[in-house]
Amino acid sequence: MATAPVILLIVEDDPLMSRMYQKIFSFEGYNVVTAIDGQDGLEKATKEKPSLILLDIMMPKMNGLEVLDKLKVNPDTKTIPVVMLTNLAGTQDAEHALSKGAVKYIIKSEHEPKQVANMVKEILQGYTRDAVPTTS
Amino acid sequence: MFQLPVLKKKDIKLEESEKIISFLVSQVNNQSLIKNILTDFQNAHKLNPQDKKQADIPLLLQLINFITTNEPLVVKEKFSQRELFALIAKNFKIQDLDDSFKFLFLESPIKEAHLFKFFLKDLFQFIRENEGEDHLNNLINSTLPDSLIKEFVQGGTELAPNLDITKLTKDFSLLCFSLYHQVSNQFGEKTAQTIIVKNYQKVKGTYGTEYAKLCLEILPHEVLQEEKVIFLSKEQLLAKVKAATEVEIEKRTLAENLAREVTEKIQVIERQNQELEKTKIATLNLLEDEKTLEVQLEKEKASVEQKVIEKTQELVDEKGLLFKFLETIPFGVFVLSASGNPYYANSHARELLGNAIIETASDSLSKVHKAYISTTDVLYPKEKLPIFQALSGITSSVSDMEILNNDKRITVEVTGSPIKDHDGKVLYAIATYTDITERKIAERSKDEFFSIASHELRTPLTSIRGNTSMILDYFKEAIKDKDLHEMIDDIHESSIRLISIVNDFLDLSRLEQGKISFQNDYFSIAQIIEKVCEETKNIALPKNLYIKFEKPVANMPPVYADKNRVIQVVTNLIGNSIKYTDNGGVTIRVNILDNDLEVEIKDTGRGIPAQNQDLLFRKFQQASSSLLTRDTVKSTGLGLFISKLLIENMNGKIYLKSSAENQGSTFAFTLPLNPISTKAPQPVIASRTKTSIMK
Repeated sequence: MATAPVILLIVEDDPLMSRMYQKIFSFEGYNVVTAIDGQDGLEKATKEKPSLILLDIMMPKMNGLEVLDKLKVNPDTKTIPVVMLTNLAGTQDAEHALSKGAVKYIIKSEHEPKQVANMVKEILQGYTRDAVPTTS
Repeated sequence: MFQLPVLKKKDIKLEESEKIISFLVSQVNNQSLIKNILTDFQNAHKLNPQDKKQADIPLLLQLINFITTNEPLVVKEKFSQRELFALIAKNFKIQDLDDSFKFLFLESPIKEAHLFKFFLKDLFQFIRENEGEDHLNNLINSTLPDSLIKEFVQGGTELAPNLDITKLTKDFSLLCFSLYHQVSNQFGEKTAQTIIVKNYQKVKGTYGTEYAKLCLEILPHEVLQEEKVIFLSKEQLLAKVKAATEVEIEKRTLAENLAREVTEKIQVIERQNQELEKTKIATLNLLEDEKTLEVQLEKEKASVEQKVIEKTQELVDEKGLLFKFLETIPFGVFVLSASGNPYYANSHARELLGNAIIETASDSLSKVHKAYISTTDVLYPKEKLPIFQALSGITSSVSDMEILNNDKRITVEVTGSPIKDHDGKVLYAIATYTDITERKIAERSKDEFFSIASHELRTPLTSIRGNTSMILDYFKEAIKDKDLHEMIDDIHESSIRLISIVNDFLDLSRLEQGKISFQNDYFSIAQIIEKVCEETKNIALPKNLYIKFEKPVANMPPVYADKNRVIQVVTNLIGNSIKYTDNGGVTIRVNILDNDLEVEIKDTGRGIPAQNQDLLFRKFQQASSSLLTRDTVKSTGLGLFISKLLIENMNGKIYLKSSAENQGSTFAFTLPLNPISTKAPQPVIASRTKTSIMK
């Protein structure tokens, strides 16, 4: 366990998903900050300065890709690694996000929460872009 | 019978001249015809010998003349003068004849020479008597210095045989002239003339007019002119008669020729006439035929005209019908002529593009029917408008055009194509406009459906899965109870199954709709297989099954396909193998074929009975014949079907290589080593075709 608590920002509009990820990262000892939409997410990203942002794609008012663009433009936030979360059928949007600077994309339904936590850990440790996650 | 008075038997010697005469008389059969001549002859015998000799000559000549001018029966034989003379000369002794007789039998011109000499005898004599012999000789010498007759004239008897009659006549003329003028000058013209006349008469009397005429030729011009004239006249007359006769003959010949020519010409004309007649008849026939043809032609023309009217009406009707079709069909039809000017627009087109379109010149076309690129405010570029492409002979289609129509944006699909003549020249450009707003909306909604459907289904499922997972991981104490634990487990498992089913349905729908795009590239198949083996170990381990990858030693070429989808297929096949195997494990092999790579997945599971093998790659089939006889625990039955669609979309093949009950099955699929030229991914229609089973 890290000495200084690592802050994770979860930008997710669906409460079901939000609560789930909040739990796993808490159980794993992270400080979790949640945002319910894109605007909220951008504010909190600037304010809380998380070590990593988990960003849902499908959101009202501002979708995840738009938020990503804005994060990468803002000098305060552009260096924070972003992991896209999606449950969309096609992976085009997620791959598109990678080209915009996201580090990884995760299909939510394909992984157990623990797997997601491990992936985050790896990223924080290596901060390298991982291979495209397999679909099974 | 006349008898020569002196005629006796042969032993009495006769004068040669008498012999000749006797012979000549004997030549005449009818002696009564020469009675006169004989009477004269008898009378002459009473004369003295000298005169008798003289009388013999004319008698002789008359006889000769008679014989030669009469025909046989009157005379014994026909002779010409020359022939008769020659005969006498041959048979009688000419040399015994008197001089004045003799020379008649000589050859010409010697005969003429003697004659002339005789003729000039008295002239010689006169000069000799009156002026002396010498004077005469001088005269002769000076007149005829070189002449051949000089000696002869002066008393000789010999003459050169090759004397020329013309020269002879000329020389004697000269001589005569000389002598005559000598006498005339010395003794008067009358004297000279008298001598000449006397000689002339003597010759005429003795020898006849023939010989007299000859002598006239050597006389000077003015002497004996009257005689000459008579002769000349006679000659001229003869000549004239001859000429006239000749002319007559000529004229007659000419007339005959003309007559012949005329006859010929008449024949020719008659022939031509006949030809003409024939031609006339032929022409009349032709005229008749022509007339018949004309009548026929008129009839046909009328019939054709009628047909044309009928056909035109048909065409008009058809055209009307075609236009009705065009007006009725539920999309816009707009036609430009080759010049680019509007030719026709049906009612739909006019509705869509505005009525003004039919009147607009080509330049302003795009402005008038305000076409934009879909979802933008950018005017559709003119050169990309299908109708203009068609003018250049190109067929094209676009579906990203929006037309502003009364402030409303209508999405249209436009297809343009040229109408060409048989030489390939563009005659018209035709474009069809179909309102696809509804279709676009439907498409968008379908896309949205898939997105939303997947999202909406997966979210709660993820929640169920995630939470149950966390309960199992972090709340072990709280769920110590065995049943409770099991229930949480079942909930977890269910959520995973549901997620899998939703995934399958979504995949299938999207594959069939063609909504899946394949990102094809070269990658290493070995790498993929190893990765999947690693990940599926978790499922294999609890069942104590092995997963073995028999990696080939040699370097394998990369395959050309969508990496993620290949992973999906490999996972599906390995997963299936594990599912249906209780003992042993799964072996994966890779084989290199001509243009493909083959991946083999072999298990030691329960195998598939022969009668079910056909059903394998079908939708929902689980290799069992009855709907109710399903092993739904294992899977939805979509996995192989989806794999098949995926592989085939990547230009590969998937099949059951071999299977035996209770021994195991070997599945395989191929992937190309090189991109195959194909169109953009099409929706793969799930067809009920037999899968290829390779033994």
